[in-house]
Amino acid sequence: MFFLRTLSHTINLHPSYFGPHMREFLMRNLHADVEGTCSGRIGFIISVLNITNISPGKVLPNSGLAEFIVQYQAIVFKPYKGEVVDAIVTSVNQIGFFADVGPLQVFVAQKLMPNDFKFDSNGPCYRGDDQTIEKNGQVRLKIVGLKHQATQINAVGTIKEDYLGQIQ
Amino acid sequence: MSSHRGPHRGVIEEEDATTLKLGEGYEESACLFISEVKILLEATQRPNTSEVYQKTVNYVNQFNRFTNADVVREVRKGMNEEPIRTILKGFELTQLANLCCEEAEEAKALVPSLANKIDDDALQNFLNTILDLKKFQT
Amino acid sequence: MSDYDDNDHWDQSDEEEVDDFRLTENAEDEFSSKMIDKFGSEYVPAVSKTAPKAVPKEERTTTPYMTKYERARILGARALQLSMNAPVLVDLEGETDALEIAMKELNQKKIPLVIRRNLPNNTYEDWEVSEMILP
Repeated sequence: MFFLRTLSHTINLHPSYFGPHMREFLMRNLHADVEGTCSGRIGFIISVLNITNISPGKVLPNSGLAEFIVQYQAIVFKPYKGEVVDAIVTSVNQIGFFADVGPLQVFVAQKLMPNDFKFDSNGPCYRGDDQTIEKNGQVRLKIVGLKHQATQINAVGTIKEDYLGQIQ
Repeated sequence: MSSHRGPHRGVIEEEDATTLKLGEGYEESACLFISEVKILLEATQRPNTSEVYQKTVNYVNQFNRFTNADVVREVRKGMNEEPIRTILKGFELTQLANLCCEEAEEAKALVPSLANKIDDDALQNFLNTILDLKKFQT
Repeated sequence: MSDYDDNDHWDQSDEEEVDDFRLTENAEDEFSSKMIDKFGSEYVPAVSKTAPKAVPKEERTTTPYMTKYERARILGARALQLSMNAPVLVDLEGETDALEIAMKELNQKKIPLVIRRNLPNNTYEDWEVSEMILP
């Protein structure tokens, strides 16, 4: 699910950036630091929309840098266990297929597909009675497991339930 | 006791969409459906080459259900109407807007947290408003 | 096998830590509740966990004179910034030493810094260098 969230980020600014254009430097720094990052607690930070507040800079003793706490609004993507999402299939192989839900990669193992799905190495694709799952196709899947790591999130999905599978 | 021991102690509470445990800071945040994300991303005219950004743009373009901004606004208005707004959480409403289910039964299968909250007729009503908007968009 | 042993050990020590923590926190709770009984609800502990509050500009009570310690700290911090390429706010007049430039800036009250005086009652006063009387 995509969220609009208010987050804060601490930036240590070098004295050479002090002056009238400090705000621009802070903005550029913020974009470079947080956009595209991912953590288990917050999820993927996709894009910073606007900055709501920049705290007064605090002089750090002995280092000469100034510490700013910037509050900003960002579009965040955070996956949840049990959530049903639409996804784009990126690769298909013998053990299952990978699909992208925005920045998140989801793996669906063959065991988590309906029983009539068979692997077909021509394509390669999975064929069921009235569905085919192949590269660049669209599927509706349910996230059943998430693994949060320091810099990425891995997800496992299933299509072995009612109303899940290929999107016609 | 456990409430003020701080997040750094003990096990982090497991997040789960089916029980609407969304994690710290997310329960009060606004959910966005895919078309809204698309509009917001297009509004920020800034070159951004990160993989996360590119993948998201690609994703929202493929699954964009409502083609123009007016329809998106209407959908959001429908979600903010009483009584649906008080019965369901933003997370559930947004999921319904993303999935565009046709029947109440299907919606309840895909979003399990709806099960005991809302009767089929009211849900069907809401789904119909979304489907109508989708059908008659230009 | 040794891996397992290690894991066991870790689990145990972790639990102990949690128990310890509970104990101390309980003791703390009891202590604070007693204090409130004794002094009534008005009592505010000297070391409060809440963030310090700012004193409004008109209600500040500390001296407008910059103390010699503040002067030293300001000069040091500013000279360090200058030595790290911060933009200079005065006419250099051929000056090259960072500390000399900082002193010049201070004399002309051009140092863009604010002194935060933390007070013992968990409040603070902010004084801009430009509004202070130099020692």
